[in-house]
This record gives sequence, C-alpha cells and structure tokens, in this order.
Amino acid sequence: MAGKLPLLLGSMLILAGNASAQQTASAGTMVARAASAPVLRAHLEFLADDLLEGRAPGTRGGELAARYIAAQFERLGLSPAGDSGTYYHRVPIISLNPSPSLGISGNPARALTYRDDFVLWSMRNETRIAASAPVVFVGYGIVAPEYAWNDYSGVDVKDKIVLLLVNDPGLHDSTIFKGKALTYYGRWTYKIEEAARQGAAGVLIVHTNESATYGWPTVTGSWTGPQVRLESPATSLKFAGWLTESAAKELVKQAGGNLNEMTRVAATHQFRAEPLNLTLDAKVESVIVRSATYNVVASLPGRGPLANEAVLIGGHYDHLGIRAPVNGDSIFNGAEDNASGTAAVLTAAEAFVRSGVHPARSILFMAFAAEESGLIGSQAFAARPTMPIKRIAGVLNMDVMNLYGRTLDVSALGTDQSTLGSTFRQAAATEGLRVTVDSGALIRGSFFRSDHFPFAKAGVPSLSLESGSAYVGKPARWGTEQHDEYGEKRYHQPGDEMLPWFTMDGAIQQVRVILRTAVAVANTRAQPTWLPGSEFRTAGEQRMSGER
Amino acid sequence: MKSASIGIAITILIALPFHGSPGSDGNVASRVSARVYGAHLALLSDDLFEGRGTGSHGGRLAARYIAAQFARLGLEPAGDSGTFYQTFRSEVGGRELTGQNVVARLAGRGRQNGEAAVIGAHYDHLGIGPAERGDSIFNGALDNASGVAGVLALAEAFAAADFLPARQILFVAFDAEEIGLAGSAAFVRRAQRDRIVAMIDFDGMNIFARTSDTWALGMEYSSLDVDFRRAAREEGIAVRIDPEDASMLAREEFFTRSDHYSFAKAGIPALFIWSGYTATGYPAGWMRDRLEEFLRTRYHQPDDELQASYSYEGAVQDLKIVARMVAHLSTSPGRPAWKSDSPFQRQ
Repeated sequence: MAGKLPLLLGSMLILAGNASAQQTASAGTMVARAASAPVLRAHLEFLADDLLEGRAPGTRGGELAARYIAAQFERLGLSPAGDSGTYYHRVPIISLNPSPSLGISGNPARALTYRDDFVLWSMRNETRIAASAPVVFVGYGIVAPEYAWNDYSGVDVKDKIVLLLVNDPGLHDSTIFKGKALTYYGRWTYKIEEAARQGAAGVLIVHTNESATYGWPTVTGSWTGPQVRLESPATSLKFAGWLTESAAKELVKQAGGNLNEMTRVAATHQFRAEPLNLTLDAKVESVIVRSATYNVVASLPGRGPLANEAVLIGGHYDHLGIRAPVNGDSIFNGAEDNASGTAAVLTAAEAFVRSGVHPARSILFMAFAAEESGLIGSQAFAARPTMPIKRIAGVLNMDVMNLYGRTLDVSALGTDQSTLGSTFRQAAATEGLRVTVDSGALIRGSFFRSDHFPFAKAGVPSLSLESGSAYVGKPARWGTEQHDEYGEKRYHQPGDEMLPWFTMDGAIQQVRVILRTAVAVANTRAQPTWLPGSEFRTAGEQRMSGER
Repeated sequence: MKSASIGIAITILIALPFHGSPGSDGNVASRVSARVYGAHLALLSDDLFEGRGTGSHGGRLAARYIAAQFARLGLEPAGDSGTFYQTFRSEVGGRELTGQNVVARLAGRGRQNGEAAVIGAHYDHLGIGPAERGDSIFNGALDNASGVAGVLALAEAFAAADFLPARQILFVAFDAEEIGLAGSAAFVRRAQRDRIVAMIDFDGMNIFARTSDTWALGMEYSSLDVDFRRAAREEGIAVRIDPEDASMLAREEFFTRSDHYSFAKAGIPALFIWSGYTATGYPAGWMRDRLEEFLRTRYHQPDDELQASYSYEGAVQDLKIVARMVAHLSTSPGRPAWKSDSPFQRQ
C-alpha cells in the first residue's frame, strides 16, 4: 500500500504530458531517491561472478547474463521492447578471418607484405573478393558541411581505391575543425563509411603513430585474425585496410608523388583530391563464421501524447569471456567494464518502478550486446530499431561506473555536442555535483567508442556517463591515480573483477544524475537537439525529416 | 482497508524512516506478486541453470542467483561468516557431498529477535542426466523452482512492505533435498532449535489454477493449523482437501518427504504447503488430474520444465496465506506448539 501514494503523485505530476519545470524536478527527485545501493551491488556482484564466465557473446555466460537481465525486467513489470513481444533484440554477427594480398598492377615484382606493409579485410560477406582499380588520394577523406570541407569535391571515386589519412585536419592546425580534439571525421570508421557513400571499391588508410594515436602493432593486433562485425547489407566497398607510413610513401613515390607534401596540403583549404598514376590489385579470401547474440530491451511506458517517444538508458553487458590465463586467472569478469553499467541500468529501472513515476515519454532500458567486439549490439539496434529512431529523444549510456567512492564532480562524453549537455549539467547541479570535462577523452575521441555512438551517428542526441575525478576525502591526484591504475593493471584483463574496497556510493551519485536527466528529457515537450557546430547536427536534421 | 491506507499515507507524509507496522499482515500479503513469482520461476527452470544439481555449475549458479535476490532486497546474510551461503558436508547412502544452503534474515526488532520463523524451499534438482527424447536437462520447474520462486516472492513482499517483525524471519533455499533432505538436515543440525518457532516449506506449488480452497500437510500435529486456517480465512480461501487425496498423501507418507520433515523430527513445528483441489472454472477432479498427470509424465524427468499452460494465481494465493501467517507468527507473543497427541514434540 505504501507504494501507491508515490504512484499517484507520479502520475499527477505529468498531467497531459506537459509538466512544468518544477513538477519535473519533483518527479526527478522521487526517481533519484529511489536509486538503491544494495540493488546496484547485488546486480553487479552477480554479473561479475566467475559463474558468469566473463559474459562473452555466444557463450553460456553471455546467454546467462542476457537471461538474467530479461528476468529482472520481467520481475519489474517492464514491457518487452525487443523482437516480437520479447525482451530480446537479435544481433546477427559475422566473423571473417582474412587471408589478403595486395600488389601493384603491372609490377608483380613489388608485392606488399601482409602485416609488415599492410593489413586488409573484406567489406563483403563473401569468402572471396578481388578488386583491381586505380588509386585516388583524397586527403583526410572528409565531407563536413559545417566546416565547409569536402575532400571528395570535383573527383569521381566510383569503383576506385581511395588512399587517405586518419585523424582530421585540426591535428596540425588548431584553427580548423576542433583543433587537437578529435572529431568523428577523424575516426577510421568514418573514413570507411564516407568512402562507401562515395561509391569507392576500396579504402586504404595511411597509419602514423600520431594520427592514429596508436602504433602499428595495435593495427596488426586489431585487424588481423577474425574480424567480427554486424552482418549488414553490402555497400560499394569490397575491402578496407591500413598501410604503414613507409609502404604508403613508397607507393606514392612510385606514382611520382610526395606523401609528406600531400599530407601537408591535405590539412589546408587548398587541397584537391588527385588520381595517382597507380593501380592496385587486392584479393581477400575469408573464412566466415556466422552467429547471433541479443540486446535485452524493456520499456516503461510513458503517459500522454509523448508516450510513443522514448528516452533510452543503456549499457553493454558483454565482456571478453574466458581467455588465456593471466596469473592463473582465465575469467575476464569485466566487473567495472561493464557489469557496473549493466547493474546501473537495472538499478535505474528499479528506481523508476519503485518511485511509481511515469514520465510523459517512455523510458527504454537496454543492455547492449557485443560492445567489446565493436559496438555491434548498439549498431544493430540503430540499424534495425524496435521503435522508429526519430522517436528516440535521447540516449544516456553507462560504460564503467565509479566504484571508488563519492565525488564532488561528474562527467559525460558528449556534453559539448547537444542540448543534453545542459540538461545533464542541471541534473548534476541539483545533486550538488560539478560537471568536469576530460580533455584527454576529447583527444582520444572517446565519444566515438561506446554504445551511445551508433545512435549519435543516426542523429539521436546522446551522452555517455563518465566518472568525476575529485574524490571526497582523498588527495587531489587520487582519482587520476585510480583511473590510471585501472587502465594499466585491470582494464581488459582478468583483474577487472569485484574488489573488496569497491563502494556503490559514487555510482549511485552517477545513477541519480542519469535518472534526473532522463526524467527532464522525458518530460520536456521538445526533443533535445544537436548544437550548432556539432558534426551530428546534419544527421539529427535528417533523422527528424526521415521516416525511420 | 481504507483506514489502513490512510494510516500508511500519513506515515509517509511525516517521513518516518520505517513505515511498515507490525501486525499489518494483509499489507505484506497484498504485495505478493504473480509477476515476480513468474520471473523467478522461469529463470530458475531455464536450461541455462542445467537442472541445479547439487555441486554442479547450475546448482552453484542457482545459489548465486538466490543470494543476489536476497541482497537486492536488503536482507541480511545469515549463512557462514557474513555470507548468504551455509556450506555443509554430508554423507548420504555412502556418498560424500558438499552442498550450499542460501540463508537470509529479515531482522526482528522486538524482545523476541533471538527467535525465528523459517520460510524454506529446496532449490536443487537432478541436474543433467540420461537424455529422454533428446533432452538431458532435468529442469525441475515444479520440483522445485516453483517453491524457490515462492520464497523469493515472499521475501520481496516482506521487504517491499518494510515489514518490521518482532522475531526474525529466515528465508532459506535448501540444497540437496533430492539427496535425502541433506540441506535441511544440515541447517537444523547447526541451528539453535529452540529458537526456531516454526518452519513453512514449499515443495511443488500449485502452478495450475486458482482454487477456492487450500491445504497444508502437518496441520494435525501442531497449533500451526490455527494460524494457517486464520490466514486462509482472511484471504477468503477454504481449508479442505479431497478425502481421496488425503489418503493418497498419507499412504505415500508425503509429510516425511520434504525439508520441513527435518525440522519436525528435530521438534520444530512445521507445515508443508500443499495446494487446493477445487480449481476455479474447471470441473471437479481437474486438479487431481493435473497432479496425477504430473507424477506420471514429468516428475523427476526432463519434462518437468516450464509449460505455457502454467499460471501463477494458485501459487500466489497460497503465498498470500503464508505471508499473513508468517507476519502473524513473527509478531505475536506466543509460540506454536505441538499437539499433545503428536508424534513430534519439542526436544
């Protein structure tokens, strides 16, 4: 009976789905107060237990985690929001293990060496692809209307191979793009997507340590062996790959060019794409394995005219499974990454249900699959959403919660991109927390590396929660030291497991901010929008005019 | 009902930290949820739990799941050294086994907080065995995911009501019931038996239909029959059993066949919650047909798995009776007692 009163209040607060700011604040307060530390800890400890075997996609542990999350949604009385009335949203995965070759047409003597000079993989879901095509150097390979930038202007790359640079022109000129802060135009994933839009047959990305922000061994480590991705329809692209800087220089030199000079010009408005006097032959044979995993998704239905729209609260539940042992431990528990975020999603869901608050928009709670394999679950949902993407007003992602203690601040990726940033700051302020910006995360392009991002690309304003760094009762450097230690000693290692000193206090602060943000977005008539200058503004406009 | 809810509303408005009240038995009962019950039952009987065999991966997983639910509800660990787990070794029929009961406490707030009422059900089943028609997983949906789901649904109802018992309430999921009641025997061996006032056991709940009546085994032995009958009356359910069923249960010595028997043997008044037999909306004899069909085709076979036809109104109605009964037992000054002619007596 005690629960019915807040339920009544909650529904009164959102009369006709047009709540005043003050009413939203009290609904936000009711939901925030219902976030429970024992709930968070219980879910976290279960999901991070050795019995869950590291929750890898397609394994017993991964299935158990999904089944557990679905059972919690069911227990809470949330509506299934996956495929055909279930909590599960199917994610088709294809894995291609490539054996590639790359040579210069008409010059059999100068074949390039796999791994030493290049890596290459098929962009088709086929066991064998071959492409022989002329090469066009397209600089950074960027089409960015908001920066009046088009590297493909005046050149036809249809059925050709594009050679391009990673990162964006701001790397060497702080007055263009966002300076050293990486825009999405700088990510290798963007380069491939744009080349496909331009109708190219192949993409070769030139690696340098500085522009990639990682060394060649990371490239060979990541892009040889099975390439796991969402199974999706073919584009014009047959293959993509990386070249070492020296291999690229030599190829360009043979074609009569100078890569250093071309790179310099590529970062200026004077740049024009230029066809090279060079034709390359690429072949890839791939061993293909198909499988499926599942996102787990539930809805708390909204009330009133906005109920067919939603705010999404999500976090990935997969981790790396069982692998070669480190210090005798082979289970990659992924307690912080991301049993903690999954537990936070479940805690947020339970807080809504316990509070009895039903905001105007629905709330989608989602545990993403196969994030560690390349944001595959979230990509799958953005590609085939169970509700039209234009009705998803915003995405709040939680990937690695703060288990170290209470903080004076909190952070999120994407606060500079959309109006969600100011909503988040307001929510944080109500909780007595400052919002800090992690400049390192901007340079690394962290915004492009978790599950909110496929939604951002599809035009949905999104944030990914981060930890604060000013820990209550600790010296100023303590937070940074803890985060560095996690990065060095536990991140993606079996040591990412429940530690006896973990506390839920900081994570509950974070969940409360997310809950307040969600309630504010859900109860505001207008959807959040991208800020002027955001590289996702165009996608956002397209989303609202589209039928998806 | 009306005055109760106003009282609760006022309690909330003046923001007392605790707003359950001892004696509000119906408050707890009203919070027993078919949805919660069904979610736990479906999960525990999933193939991923591999039949919950004692000592197996699936068995350990079930224990871990039950502990996580207790923790989520804010119940206190009441197993070994601050955990929810009570590990035991037993020898049953020459076989050494290690098992794990899962024990949680809702602390008492009165002078009787050294005493406890126990609500229990076994979570183990037969694990993975010889395949029958290609299925080797003995899911044990009715036997006894149905009972464990009952314990969890009751734990959630007591927690959600912020119920404050005078005596402790212990929620226990027993291991190794299928191996000679070994888990409950181990629990009783270690317990301070004179401090346990009563034990209520679920082993195979009514997941077939709502009934107009119900029954518990062991009512003839102790004063718990009075409490059970009162709670049933308050829920509007008759306490009666078909005489044929009664003689079958006696003939098959059902009272000796589940975990409550470990308690009764040790002198602790105990009831085994059975089921009604008059299914609402079905012809007479329908419930007995379900039971006989179950015993014939599913009992201790891989086919004891979740059926689309199962429904949880019957189980929830029996759980509400137990919620009222235990709420009363945990707050009333007196203790249940064996009847003078009972073969069981306090030791």
